[in-house]
Amino acid sequence: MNWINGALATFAFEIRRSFSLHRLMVAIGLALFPPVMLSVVARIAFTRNSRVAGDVVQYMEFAMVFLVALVCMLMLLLWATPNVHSELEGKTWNFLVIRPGGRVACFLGKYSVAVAVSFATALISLIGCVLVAQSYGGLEDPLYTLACLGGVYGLACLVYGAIFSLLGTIFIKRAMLVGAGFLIGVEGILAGLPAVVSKFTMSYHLRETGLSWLGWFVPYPESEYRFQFGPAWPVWMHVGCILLMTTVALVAGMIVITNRQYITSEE
Amino acid sequence: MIELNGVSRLYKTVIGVNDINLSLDQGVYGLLGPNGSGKTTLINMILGQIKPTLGTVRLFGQNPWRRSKLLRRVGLCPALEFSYPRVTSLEWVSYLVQMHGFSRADALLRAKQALELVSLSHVMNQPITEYSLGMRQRAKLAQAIAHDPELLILDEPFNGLDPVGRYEMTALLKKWAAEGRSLVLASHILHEVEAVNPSFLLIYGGRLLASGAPDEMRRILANSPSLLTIKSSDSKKLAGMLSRLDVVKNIRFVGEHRVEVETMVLAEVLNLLPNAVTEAGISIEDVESNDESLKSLFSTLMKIQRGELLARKTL
Repeated sequence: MNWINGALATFAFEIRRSFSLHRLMVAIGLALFPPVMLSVVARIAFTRNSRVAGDVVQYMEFAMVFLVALVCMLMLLLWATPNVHSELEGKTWNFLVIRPGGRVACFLGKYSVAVAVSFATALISLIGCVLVAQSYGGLEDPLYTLACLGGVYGLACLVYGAIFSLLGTIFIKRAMLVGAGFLIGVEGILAGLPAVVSKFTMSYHLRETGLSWLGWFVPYPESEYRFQFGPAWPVWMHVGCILLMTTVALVAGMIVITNRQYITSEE
Repeated sequence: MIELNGVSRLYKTVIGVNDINLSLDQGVYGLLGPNGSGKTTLINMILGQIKPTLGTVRLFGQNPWRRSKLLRRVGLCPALEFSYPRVTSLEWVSYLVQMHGFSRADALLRAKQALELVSLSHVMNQPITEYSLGMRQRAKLAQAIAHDPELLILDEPFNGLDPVGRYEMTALLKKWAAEGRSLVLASHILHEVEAVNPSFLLIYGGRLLASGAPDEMRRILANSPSLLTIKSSDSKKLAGMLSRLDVVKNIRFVGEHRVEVETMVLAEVLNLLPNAVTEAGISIEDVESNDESLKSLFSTLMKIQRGELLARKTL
Protein backbone atom coordinates (compact mmCIF):
# COMPACT_ATOMS: atom_id res chain seq x y z
CA MET A 1 0.00 0.00 0.00
CA ASN A 2 2.81 2.36 -0.89
CA TRP A 3 0.41 4.59 -2.81
CA ILE A 4 -1.46 5.55 0.37
CA ASN A 5 1.76 6.80 1.91
CA GLY A 6 2.61 8.49 -1.38
CA ALA A 7 -0.82 10.12 -1.60
CA LEU A 8 -0.43 11.50 1.94
CA ALA A 9 3.05 12.80 1.05
CA THR A 10 1.69 14.43 -2.12
CA PHE A 11 -1.15 15.98 -0.13
CA ALA A 12 1.25 17.45 2.45
CA PHE A 13 3.67 18.66 -0.24
CA GLU A 14 0.97 20.26 -2.39
CA ILE A 15 -0.77 21.87 0.59
CA ARG A 16 2.53 23.49 1.61
CA ARG A 17 2.97 24.70 -1.96
CA SER A 18 -0.55 26.14 -1.98
CA PHE A 19 0.37 28.71 0.65
CA SER A 20 1.82 31.15 -1.83
CA LEU A 21 0.79 34.77 -2.06
CA HIS A 22 -0.65 34.37 -5.55
CA ARG A 23 -2.73 31.30 -4.71
CA LEU A 24 -3.93 32.77 -1.42
CA MET A 25 -4.98 35.98 -3.16
CA VAL A 26 -6.99 34.01 -5.74
CA ALA A 27 -8.66 31.93 -3.01
CA ILE A 28 -9.46 34.95 -0.84
CA GLY A 29 -10.74 36.91 -3.85
CA LEU A 30 -13.07 34.07 -4.82
CA ALA A 31 -14.16 33.44 -1.22
CA LEU A 32 -15.11 37.08 -0.75
CA PHE A 33 -17.05 37.36 -3.99
CA PRO A 34 -20.38 35.78 -2.82
CA PRO A 35 -20.71 37.69 0.50
CA VAL A 36 -19.80 40.95 -1.22
CA MET A 37 -22.32 40.34 -4.02
CA LEU A 38 -25.00 39.33 -1.54
CA SER A 39 -24.32 42.38 0.55
CA VAL A 40 -24.44 44.73 -2.44
CA VAL A 41 -27.73 43.26 -3.72
CA ALA A 42 -29.34 43.37 -0.27
CA ARG A 43 -28.15 46.93 0.41
CA ILE A 44 -29.48 48.24 -2.92
CA ALA A 45 -32.80 46.43 -2.41
CA PHE A 46 -33.21 47.70 1.13
CA THR A 47 -32.39 51.31 0.32
CA ARG A 48 -34.57 51.56 -2.83
CA ASN A 49 -37.62 49.32 -2.61
CA SER A 50 -39.14 47.60 0.39
CA ARG A 51 -41.17 45.11 -1.71
CA VAL A 52 -38.02 43.93 -3.52
CA ALA A 53 -36.23 43.87 -0.17
CA GLY A 54 -38.77 41.28 1.03
CA ASP A 55 -38.08 39.08 -2.00
CA VAL A 56 -34.35 39.39 -1.47
CA VAL A 57 -34.69 38.24 2.12
CA GLN A 58 -36.98 35.38 1.06
CA TYR A 59 -34.56 34.06 -1.54
CA MET A 60 -31.34 34.95 0.21
CA GLU A 61 -30.63 31.30 0.90
CA PHE A 62 -31.02 30.44 -2.78
CA ALA A 63 -28.74 33.29 -3.86
CA MET A 64 -26.22 32.18 -1.27
CA VAL A 65 -26.28 28.58 -2.52
CA PHE A 66 -25.93 29.67 -6.14
CA LEU A 67 -23.05 32.11 -5.54
CA VAL A 68 -21.05 29.78 -3.30
CA ALA A 69 -21.61 26.92 -5.75
CA LEU A 70 -20.03 29.07 -8.48
CA VAL A 71 -16.98 29.70 -6.33
CA CYS A 72 -16.74 26.06 -5.30
CA MET A 73 -16.89 24.81 -8.90
CA LEU A 74 -14.37 27.39 -10.08
CA MET A 75 -11.91 26.36 -7.37
CA LEU A 76 -12.36 22.69 -8.25
CA LEU A 77 -11.81 23.44 -11.93
CA LEU A 78 -8.63 25.35 -11.08
CA TRP A 79 -7.24 22.71 -8.72
CA ALA A 80 -8.48 19.32 -9.87
CA THR A 81 -8.39 19.39 -13.67
CA PRO A 82 -4.68 20.19 -14.21
CA ASN A 83 -3.55 17.21 -12.08
CA VAL A 84 -1.50 15.59 -14.86
CA HIS A 85 -0.99 18.57 -17.13
CA SER A 86 0.72 20.72 -14.47
CA GLU A 87 3.26 17.95 -13.79
CA LEU A 88 3.91 17.34 -17.48
CA GLU A 89 4.21 21.08 -18.13
CA GLY A 90 6.56 21.60 -15.17
CA LYS A 91 8.50 18.50 -16.27
CA THR A 92 8.13 17.04 -12.79
CA TRP A 93 6.04 14.08 -13.96
CA ASN A 94 9.05 11.80 -14.53
CA PHE A 95 10.25 12.32 -10.98
CA LEU A 96 6.90 11.30 -9.49
CA VAL A 97 6.02 8.32 -11.62
CA ILE A 98 9.29 6.48 -11.06
CA ARG A 99 8.19 5.81 -7.48
CA PRO A 100 6.27 2.62 -6.68
CA GLY A 101 2.59 3.44 -7.11
CA GLY A 102 3.63 7.01 -7.91
CA ARG A 103 0.93 7.60 -10.50
CA VAL A 104 -1.95 6.65 -8.21
CA ALA A 105 -0.33 8.47 -5.27
CA CYS A 106 -0.02 11.63 -7.35
CA PHE A 107 -3.63 11.32 -8.56
CA LEU A 108 -5.13 10.78 -5.11
CA GLY A 109 -2.86 13.31 -3.40
CA LYS A 110 -3.77 16.02 -5.86
CA TYR A 111 -7.46 15.11 -5.67
CA SER A 112 -7.36 15.45 -1.88
CA VAL A 113 -5.69 18.84 -2.16
CA ALA A 114 -8.29 20.03 -4.68
CA VAL A 115 -11.10 18.91 -2.37
CA ALA A 116 -9.52 20.44 0.74
CA VAL A 117 -8.70 23.80 -0.85
CA SER A 118 -12.06 24.11 -2.64
CA PHE A 119 -14.02 23.12 0.44
CA ALA A 120 -12.08 25.53 2.62
CA THR A 121 -12.76 28.37 0.17
CA ALA A 122 -16.43 27.44 -0.10
CA LEU A 123 -16.75 27.27 3.68
CA ILE A 124 -15.17 30.69 4.19
CA SER A 125 -17.44 32.06 1.52
CA LEU A 126 -20.44 30.41 3.13
CA ILE A 127 -19.61 31.85 6.54
CA GLY A 128 -19.37 35.30 4.97
CA CYS A 129 -22.73 34.82 3.22
CA VAL A 130 -24.42 33.57 6.39
CA LEU A 131 -23.16 36.62 8.28
CA VAL A 132 -24.47 38.95 5.56
CA ALA A 133 -27.81 37.13 5.37
CA GLN A 134 -28.15 37.18 9.13
CA SER A 135 -27.49 40.91 9.27
CA TYR A 136 -30.52 41.41 6.99
CA GLY A 137 -32.64 38.92 8.91
CA GLY A 138 -32.68 36.43 6.02
CA LEU A 139 -32.00 33.29 8.06
CA GLU A 140 -33.92 31.69 10.89
CA ASP A 141 -31.15 29.46 12.19
CA PRO A 142 -27.79 30.55 10.72
CA LEU A 143 -25.73 27.81 12.37
CA TYR A 144 -28.05 25.09 11.11
CA THR A 145 -27.96 26.60 7.60
CA LEU A 146 -24.18 26.73 7.76
CA ALA A 147 -23.94 23.08 8.84
CA CYS A 148 -26.39 21.86 6.17
CA LEU A 149 -24.79 23.81 3.33
CA GLY A 150 -21.32 22.87 4.59
CA GLY A 151 -22.36 19.23 4.27
CA VAL A 152 -23.77 19.75 0.77
CA TYR A 153 -20.63 21.57 -0.39
CA GLY A 154 -18.47 18.90 1.18
CA LEU A 155 -20.28 16.27 -0.90
CA ALA A 156 -20.09 18.52 -3.98
CA CYS A 157 -16.33 18.91 -3.57
CA LEU A 158 -15.88 15.15 -3.20
CA VAL A 159 -17.87 14.22 -6.29
CA TYR A 160 -16.94 17.06 -8.65
CA GLY A 161 -13.31 16.88 -7.54
CA ALA A 162 -13.30 13.21 -8.53
CA ILE A 163 -15.00 13.89 -11.87
CA PHE A 164 -12.64 16.77 -12.72
CA SER A 165 -9.61 14.71 -11.67
CA LEU A 166 -10.77 11.94 -13.98
CA LEU A 167 -11.18 14.46 -16.81
CA GLY A 168 -7.66 15.71 -16.05
CA THR A 169 -6.21 12.26 -16.69
CA ILE A 170 -8.07 11.86 -19.99
CA PHE A 171 -8.05 15.30 -21.59
CA ILE A 172 -4.65 16.49 -20.52
CA LYS A 173 -4.34 19.84 -22.27
CA ARG A 174 -8.02 20.88 -22.44
CA ALA A 175 -9.17 19.39 -19.15
CA MET A 176 -10.37 22.70 -17.71
CA LEU A 177 -12.36 23.49 -20.84
CA VAL A 178 -13.92 20.03 -20.89
CA GLY A 179 -14.65 20.38 -17.17
CA ALA A 180 -16.42 23.71 -17.72
CA GLY A 181 -18.33 22.19 -20.64
CA PHE A 182 -19.37 19.26 -18.46
CA LEU A 183 -20.61 21.62 -15.75
CA ILE A 184 -22.68 23.70 -18.14
CA GLY A 185 -23.91 20.88 -20.36
CA VAL A 186 -24.48 18.02 -17.96
CA GLU A 187 -24.75 19.54 -14.50
CA GLY A 188 -26.47 22.71 -15.70
CA ILE A 189 -28.73 21.98 -18.66
CA LEU A 190 -29.26 18.21 -18.30
CA ALA A 191 -29.91 18.44 -14.55
CA GLY A 192 -32.60 21.02 -15.20
CA LEU A 193 -34.54 18.84 -17.61
CA PRO A 194 -37.77 17.40 -16.19
CA ALA A 195 -36.86 13.89 -17.28
CA VAL A 196 -35.35 10.71 -15.87
CA VAL A 197 -31.99 11.66 -17.35
CA SER A 198 -31.65 14.48 -14.80
CA LYS A 199 -31.44 11.87 -12.04
CA PHE A 200 -28.09 10.77 -13.46
CA THR A 201 -26.59 14.17 -12.72
CA MET A 202 -24.89 14.99 -9.45
CA SER A 203 -26.45 18.44 -9.16
CA TYR A 204 -29.88 16.78 -8.96
CA HIS A 205 -28.78 14.64 -6.02
CA LEU A 206 -27.03 17.56 -4.34
CA ARG A 207 -30.11 19.73 -4.79
CA GLU A 208 -32.35 17.04 -3.32
CA THR A 209 -29.94 16.53 -0.40
CA GLY A 210 -29.95 20.27 0.25
CA LEU A 211 -33.76 20.38 0.09
CA SER A 212 -34.01 17.47 2.53
CA TRP A 213 -31.62 18.97 5.04
CA LEU A 214 -32.42 22.65 4.65
CA GLY A 215 -36.09 22.70 3.67
CA TRP A 216 -37.57 24.45 0.65
CA PHE A 217 -35.37 27.27 -0.66
CA VAL A 218 -35.65 27.27 -4.46
CA PRO A 219 -37.55 30.20 -6.03
CA TYR A 220 -40.54 28.30 -7.40
CA PRO A 221 -43.40 26.29 -5.89
CA GLU A 222 -42.65 22.86 -4.46
CA SER A 223 -45.70 21.28 -6.14
CA GLU A 224 -44.53 22.43 -9.55
CA TYR A 225 -41.01 21.14 -8.86
CA ARG A 226 -42.26 17.76 -7.67
CA PHE A 227 -44.55 17.49 -10.70
CA GLN A 228 -41.53 17.96 -12.96
CA PHE A 229 -38.86 15.99 -11.11
CA GLY A 230 -40.91 13.46 -9.21
CA PRO A 231 -41.04 12.75 -5.49
CA ALA A 232 -37.91 12.98 -3.37
CA TRP A 233 -36.01 9.84 -2.42
CA PRO A 234 -34.77 9.27 1.10
CA VAL A 235 -31.72 11.45 1.66
CA TRP A 236 -29.41 8.47 2.19
CA MET A 237 -30.11 7.39 -1.39
CA HIS A 238 -29.02 10.75 -2.76
CA VAL A 239 -25.90 10.75 -0.61
CA GLY A 240 -25.26 7.15 -1.66
CA CYS A 241 -25.50 8.11 -5.35
CA ILE A 242 -23.01 10.94 -4.78
CA LEU A 243 -20.54 8.72 -2.93
CA LEU A 244 -20.92 5.96 -5.53
CA MET A 245 -20.17 8.40 -8.35
CA THR A 246 -17.15 9.70 -6.39
CA THR A 247 -15.80 6.17 -6.05
CA VAL A 248 -16.47 5.31 -9.69
CA ALA A 249 -14.75 8.49 -10.93
CA LEU A 250 -11.74 7.95 -8.65
CA VAL A 251 -11.32 4.30 -9.63
CA ALA A 252 -11.68 5.19 -13.32
CA GLY A 253 -9.10 7.96 -12.87
CA MET A 254 -6.67 5.58 -11.18
CA ILE A 255 -7.09 3.05 -14.00
CA VAL A 256 -6.51 5.71 -16.67
CA ILE A 257 -3.49 7.26 -14.97
CA THR A 258 -1.90 3.85 -14.37
CA ASN A 259 -2.33 2.62 -17.91
CA ARG A 260 -1.78 5.73 -19.97
CA GLN A 261 1.63 6.51 -21.42
CA TYR A 262 2.14 10.20 -20.81
CA ILE A 263 4.96 11.79 -22.76
CA THR A 264 6.49 15.09 -21.67
CA SER A 265 6.75 17.75 -24.36
CA GLU A 266 10.56 17.62 -24.42
CA GLU A 267 10.56 13.88 -25.10
CA MET B 1 19.33 -7.02 -14.38
CA ILE B 2 17.95 -5.49 -17.62
CA GLU B 3 16.77 -7.56 -20.56
CA LEU B 4 15.34 -6.31 -23.83
CA ASN B 5 14.18 -8.71 -26.51
CA GLY B 6 13.40 -7.31 -29.96
CA VAL B 7 12.24 -4.04 -28.45
CA SER B 8 10.90 -1.36 -30.79
CA ARG B 9 8.96 1.76 -29.99
CA LEU B 10 7.01 3.83 -32.48
CA TYR B 11 5.73 7.38 -31.95
CA LYS B 12 3.03 7.34 -34.63
CA THR B 13 5.19 7.04 -37.75
CA VAL B 14 8.50 7.93 -36.08
CA ILE B 15 10.71 5.12 -34.80
CA GLY B 16 12.04 5.97 -31.35
CA VAL B 17 13.77 2.67 -30.71
CA ASN B 18 14.32 0.02 -33.35
CA ASP B 19 14.66 -3.70 -32.63
CA ILE B 20 16.99 -3.61 -29.66
CA ASN B 21 18.20 -6.84 -28.07
CA LEU B 22 20.15 -6.39 -24.91
CA SER B 23 21.01 -8.19 -21.72
CA LEU B 24 22.76 -6.28 -18.97
CA ASP B 25 24.03 -7.85 -15.78
CA GLN B 26 25.00 -5.84 -12.72
CA GLY B 27 27.67 -3.31 -13.62
CA VAL B 28 28.43 0.12 -14.99
CA TYR B 29 27.18 1.01 -18.46
CA GLY B 30 27.55 4.06 -20.63
CA LEU B 31 24.64 4.59 -23.00
CA LEU B 32 26.11 6.75 -25.71
CA GLY B 33 24.33 8.40 -28.58
CA PRO B 34 23.71 11.80 -30.09
CA ASN B 35 20.65 13.84 -29.13
CA GLY B 36 17.46 12.24 -30.42
CA SER B 37 19.04 8.81 -30.82
CA GLY B 38 16.53 7.09 -28.54
CA LYS B 39 18.36 7.05 -25.19
CA THR B 40 15.52 8.57 -23.17
CA THR B 41 12.91 6.38 -24.86
CA LEU B 42 15.00 3.33 -24.01
CA ILE B 43 15.32 4.44 -20.37
CA ASN B 44 11.57 5.09 -20.13
CA MET B 45 10.86 1.61 -21.44
CA ILE B 46 13.32 0.02 -19.02
CA LEU B 47 11.54 1.82 -16.17
CA GLY B 48 8.08 0.88 -17.40
CA GLN B 49 6.96 4.40 -18.13
CA ILE B 50 6.20 3.61 -21.74
CA LYS B 51 5.40 0.27 -23.33
CA PRO B 52 7.38 -1.10 -26.24
CA THR B 53 5.39 -1.33 -29.47
CA LEU B 54 7.13 -4.64 -30.11
CA GLY B 55 9.24 -6.91 -27.95
CA THR B 56 9.59 -7.44 -24.23
CA VAL B 57 11.37 -5.57 -21.45
CA ARG B 58 12.45 -7.14 -18.18
CA LEU B 59 13.86 -5.29 -15.19
CA PHE B 60 15.16 -7.50 -12.40
CA GLY B 61 13.43 -10.35 -14.22
CA GLN B 62 9.97 -8.76 -14.24
CA ASN B 63 7.84 -6.61 -16.53
CA PRO B 64 8.35 -3.05 -15.25
CA TRP B 65 5.10 -1.81 -16.82
CA ARG B 66 3.06 -4.09 -14.57
CA ARG B 67 5.30 -4.13 -11.50
CA SER B 68 5.83 -0.60 -10.26
CA LYS B 69 7.22 -2.04 -6.99
CA LEU B 70 10.44 -2.64 -8.93
CA LEU B 71 10.98 1.09 -8.99
CA ARG B 72 11.91 0.98 -5.32
CA ARG B 73 15.20 -0.58 -6.46
CA VAL B 74 15.92 2.06 -9.08
CA GLY B 75 16.96 5.70 -8.95
CA LEU B 76 16.47 7.90 -12.01
CA CYS B 77 17.94 11.28 -12.72
CA PRO B 78 16.05 12.46 -15.83
CA ALA B 79 17.50 14.91 -18.31
CA LEU B 80 14.50 17.22 -18.04
CA GLU B 81 14.79 20.65 -16.50
CA PHE B 82 11.98 20.76 -13.97
CA SER B 83 10.40 23.71 -12.18
CA TYR B 84 8.74 23.82 -8.75
CA PRO B 85 8.36 27.44 -7.69
CA ARG B 86 9.12 28.23 -4.02
CA VAL B 87 10.08 24.64 -3.13
CA THR B 88 13.40 24.01 -1.40
CA SER B 89 15.58 21.06 -2.37
CA LEU B 90 15.13 19.56 1.09
CA GLU B 91 11.33 19.66 0.80
CA TRP B 92 11.44 18.26 -2.73
CA VAL B 93 13.89 15.44 -2.10
CA SER B 94 12.24 14.38 1.18
CA TYR B 95 8.84 14.38 -0.55
CA LEU B 96 10.14 12.12 -3.30
CA VAL B 97 11.77 9.80 -0.75
CA GLN B 98 8.45 9.61 1.12
CA MET B 99 6.87 8.46 -2.14
CA HIS B 100 9.07 5.37 -1.82
CA GLY B 101 7.28 4.44 1.37
CA PHE B 102 9.56 6.01 3.98
CA SER B 103 8.14 7.85 6.98
CA ARG B 104 8.44 11.64 7.04
CA ALA B 105 11.27 11.57 9.59
CA ASP B 106 13.19 8.89 7.68
CA ALA B 107 12.66 10.70 4.40
CA LEU B 108 13.93 13.96 5.86
CA LEU B 109 17.05 12.26 7.19
CA ARG B 110 17.76 10.50 3.90
CA ALA B 111 17.17 13.71 1.95
CA LYS B 112 19.64 15.58 4.14
CA GLN B 113 22.25 12.84 3.68
CA ALA B 114 21.78 12.76 -0.09
CA LEU B 115 21.99 16.54 -0.37
CA GLU B 116 25.15 16.50 1.68
CA LEU B 117 26.60 13.86 -0.63
CA VAL B 118 26.03 16.12 -3.65
CA SER B 119 27.36 19.17 -1.74
CA LEU B 120 24.06 21.00 -1.53
CA SER B 121 23.49 20.90 2.21
CA HIS B 122 24.44 24.58 2.59
CA VAL B 123 21.59 25.66 0.27
CA MET B 124 19.05 22.92 0.99
CA ASN B 125 16.61 25.38 2.56
CA GLN B 126 16.67 27.72 -0.41
CA PRO B 127 14.13 27.45 -3.26
CA ILE B 128 15.36 25.33 -6.17
CA THR B 129 14.40 28.11 -8.58
CA GLU B 130 17.24 30.17 -7.11
CA TYR B 131 19.79 27.45 -7.92
CA SER B 132 22.22 27.50 -10.81
CA LEU B 133 21.82 24.86 -13.51
CA GLY B 134 24.62 22.80 -11.97
CA MET B 135 23.03 22.93 -8.52
CA ARG B 136 19.69 21.82 -9.93
CA GLN B 137 21.48 18.95 -11.63
CA ARG B 138 22.94 17.91 -8.28
CA ALA B 139 19.53 18.20 -6.59
CA LYS B 140 18.19 15.85 -9.27
CA LEU B 141 20.97 13.41 -8.49
CA ALA B 142 20.18 13.66 -4.76
CA GLN B 143 16.55 12.60 -5.31
CA ALA B 144 17.78 9.65 -7.36
CA ILE B 145 20.16 8.29 -4.73
CA ALA B 146 18.38 9.26 -1.50
CA HIS B 147 16.40 6.02 -1.22
CA ASP B 148 19.57 3.97 -1.74
CA PRO B 149 18.69 2.18 -4.98
CA GLU B 150 20.48 -0.85 -6.47
CA LEU B 151 20.45 0.61 -9.95
CA LEU B 152 21.05 4.24 -10.75
CA ILE B 153 20.08 5.56 -14.18
CA LEU B 154 21.34 9.00 -15.14
CA ASP B 155 20.20 10.76 -18.29
CA GLU B 156 22.68 13.47 -19.34
CA PRO B 157 23.84 14.13 -15.76
CA PHE B 158 26.68 16.44 -16.79
CA ASN B 159 24.40 18.98 -18.48
CA GLY B 160 25.04 22.44 -17.13
CA LEU B 161 27.85 21.44 -14.79
CA ASP B 162 30.99 23.55 -14.65
CA PRO B 163 34.41 21.81 -14.68
CA VAL B 164 34.46 21.51 -10.89
CA GLY B 165 30.94 20.17 -10.91
CA ARG B 166 31.84 17.66 -13.61
CA TYR B 167 34.83 16.51 -11.61
CA GLU B 168 32.70 16.11 -8.46
CA MET B 169 29.96 14.29 -10.35
CA THR B 170 32.50 11.93 -11.92
CA ALA B 171 34.08 11.25 -8.52
CA LEU B 172 30.66 10.53 -7.04
CA LEU B 173 29.74 8.14 -9.83
CA LYS B 174 33.12 6.40 -9.59
CA LYS B 175 32.52 5.93 -5.88
CA TRP B 176 29.04 4.57 -6.60
CA ALA B 177 30.46 2.09 -9.11
CA ALA B 178 33.32 1.13 -6.77
CA GLU B 179 30.74 0.14 -4.14
CA GLY B 180 29.59 -2.55 -6.57
CA ARG B 181 26.30 -0.90 -7.40
CA SER B 182 24.90 -0.72 -10.91
CA LEU B 183 24.88 2.39 -13.02
CA VAL B 184 23.56 3.32 -16.45
CA LEU B 185 24.90 6.62 -17.63
CA ALA B 186 23.30 8.08 -20.76
CA SER B 187 25.14 10.87 -22.52
CA HIS B 188 26.03 12.23 -25.92
CA ILE B 189 29.57 13.15 -24.85
CA LEU B 190 32.08 10.33 -24.92
CA HIS B 191 34.76 11.54 -22.54
CA GLU B 192 32.22 12.26 -19.79
CA VAL B 193 31.07 8.67 -19.84
CA GLU B 194 34.56 7.30 -20.38
CA ALA B 195 35.71 8.76 -17.06
CA VAL B 196 33.55 6.25 -15.16
CA ASN B 197 35.09 3.40 -17.19
CA PRO B 198 31.87 1.68 -18.14
CA SER B 199 30.92 -0.92 -20.70
CA PHE B 200 29.56 0.97 -23.66
CA LEU B 201 26.23 0.79 -25.42
CA LEU B 202 26.20 2.85 -28.58
CA ILE B 203 22.78 3.88 -29.83
CA TYR B 204 22.02 5.86 -32.96
CA GLY B 205 18.77 6.37 -34.85
CA GLY B 206 17.03 4.14 -32.34
CA ARG B 207 19.33 1.20 -33.08
CA LEU B 208 21.93 -0.32 -30.84
CA LEU B 209 25.00 -0.07 -33.05
CA ALA B 210 27.56 -1.63 -30.77
CA SER B 211 28.15 -2.68 -27.21
CA GLY B 212 31.19 -3.82 -25.36
CA ALA B 213 33.91 -3.27 -22.83
CA PRO B 214 35.99 -0.04 -22.81
CA ASP B 215 38.87 -1.75 -24.64
CA GLU B 216 36.60 -2.89 -27.45
CA MET B 217 35.26 0.64 -27.84
CA ARG B 218 38.74 2.09 -27.93
CA ARG B 219 39.58 -0.35 -30.71
CA ILE B 220 36.55 0.77 -32.71
CA LEU B 221 37.46 4.38 -32.01
CA ALA B 222 41.02 3.78 -33.18
CA ASN B 223 39.69 2.41 -36.46
CA SER B 224 37.29 5.25 -37.07
CA PRO B 225 38.46 8.40 -38.83
CA SER B 226 38.69 11.67 -36.93
CA LEU B 227 37.56 14.99 -38.29
CA LEU B 228 39.54 18.17 -37.84
CA THR B 229 38.33 21.61 -38.93
CA ILE B 230 41.12 24.17 -39.45
CA LYS B 231 40.62 27.88 -39.99
CA SER B 232 43.67 29.48 -41.61
CA SER B 233 44.80 32.59 -43.46
CA ASP B 234 45.09 30.62 -46.74
CA SER B 235 42.86 27.58 -46.88
CA LYS B 236 43.84 26.59 -50.46
CA LYS B 237 47.54 26.57 -49.63
CA LEU B 238 46.82 24.68 -46.41
CA ALA B 239 44.76 22.08 -48.26
CA GLY B 240 47.55 21.60 -50.79
CA MET B 241 50.09 21.16 -48.05
CA LEU B 242 47.91 18.74 -46.04
CA SER B 243 47.20 16.63 -49.10
CA ARG B 244 50.90 15.73 -49.19
CA LEU B 245 50.69 14.15 -45.72
CA ASP B 246 50.20 10.37 -45.89
CA VAL B 247 48.05 10.28 -42.75
CA VAL B 248 45.40 12.56 -44.26
CA LYS B 249 42.55 10.61 -45.85
CA ASN B 250 40.27 13.35 -47.15
CA ILE B 251 40.15 17.14 -47.35
CA ARG B 252 37.05 19.24 -47.87
CA PHE B 253 36.60 23.01 -48.04
CA VAL B 254 34.12 24.45 -45.54
CA GLY B 255 33.37 28.05 -46.48
CA GLU B 256 36.15 30.40 -47.54
CA HIS B 257 38.65 30.01 -44.72
CA ARG B 258 38.09 26.52 -43.34
CA VAL B 259 39.13 23.05 -44.40
CA GLU B 260 37.85 19.81 -42.93
CA VAL B 261 40.48 17.10 -42.65
CA GLU B 262 39.63 13.43 -42.24
CA THR B 263 42.37 11.26 -40.78
CA MET B 264 42.81 7.91 -39.12
CA VAL B 265 45.67 9.21 -36.97
CA LEU B 266 44.61 12.48 -35.45
CA ALA B 267 47.61 12.80 -33.14
CA GLU B 268 50.06 12.55 -36.03
CA VAL B 269 48.30 15.29 -38.02
CA LEU B 270 48.38 17.53 -34.98
CA ASN B 271 52.11 16.82 -34.57
CA LEU B 272 52.96 17.53 -38.20
CA LEU B 273 50.73 20.59 -38.54
CA PRO B 274 52.86 23.23 -36.72
CA ASN B 275 56.05 22.59 -38.74
CA ALA B 276 54.18 22.29 -42.00
CA VAL B 277 52.35 25.59 -41.64
CA THR B 278 55.47 27.39 -40.45
CA GLU B 279 57.32 26.25 -43.54
CA ALA B 280 54.44 27.25 -45.81
CA GLY B 281 53.99 30.60 -44.04
CA ILE B 282 50.33 30.06 -43.20
CA SER B 283 48.81 31.30 -39.96
CA ILE B 284 46.33 29.03 -38.18
CA GLU B 285 43.45 30.83 -36.46
CA ASP B 286 41.41 27.93 -35.13
CA VAL B 287 41.58 24.15 -34.90
CA GLU B 288 38.47 22.21 -33.99
CA SER B 289 38.12 18.48 -33.43
CA ASN B 290 34.68 16.94 -33.92
CA ASP B 291 35.56 13.96 -31.82
CA GLU B 292 33.42 15.07 -28.90
CA SER B 293 30.24 14.74 -30.86
CA LEU B 294 31.01 11.10 -31.57
CA LYS B 295 30.10 11.92 -35.14
CA SER B 296 32.97 10.02 -36.69
CA LEU B 297 32.49 6.99 -34.47
CA PHE B 298 28.79 6.75 -35.23
CA SER B 299 29.43 7.37 -38.88
CA THR B 300 31.87 4.44 -38.89
CA LEU B 301 29.49 2.20 -37.03
CA MET B 302 26.65 3.08 -39.38
CA LYS B 303 28.89 2.26 -42.32
CA ILE B 304 29.80 -1.07 -40.71
CA GLN B 305 26.10 -1.80 -40.17
CA ARG B 306 25.21 -0.99 -43.76
CA GLY B 307 28.19 -2.99 -44.98
CA GLU B 308 29.71 0.06 -46.69
CA LEU B 309 33.00 -0.10 -44.83
CA LEU B 310 33.48 -3.75 -45.62
CA ALA B 311 32.65 -3.06 -49.27
CA ARG B 312 35.27 -0.33 -49.49
CA LYS B 313 37.92 -2.58 -47.97
CA THR B 314 37.05 -5.31 -50.44
CA LEU B 315 37.36 -2.89 -53.33
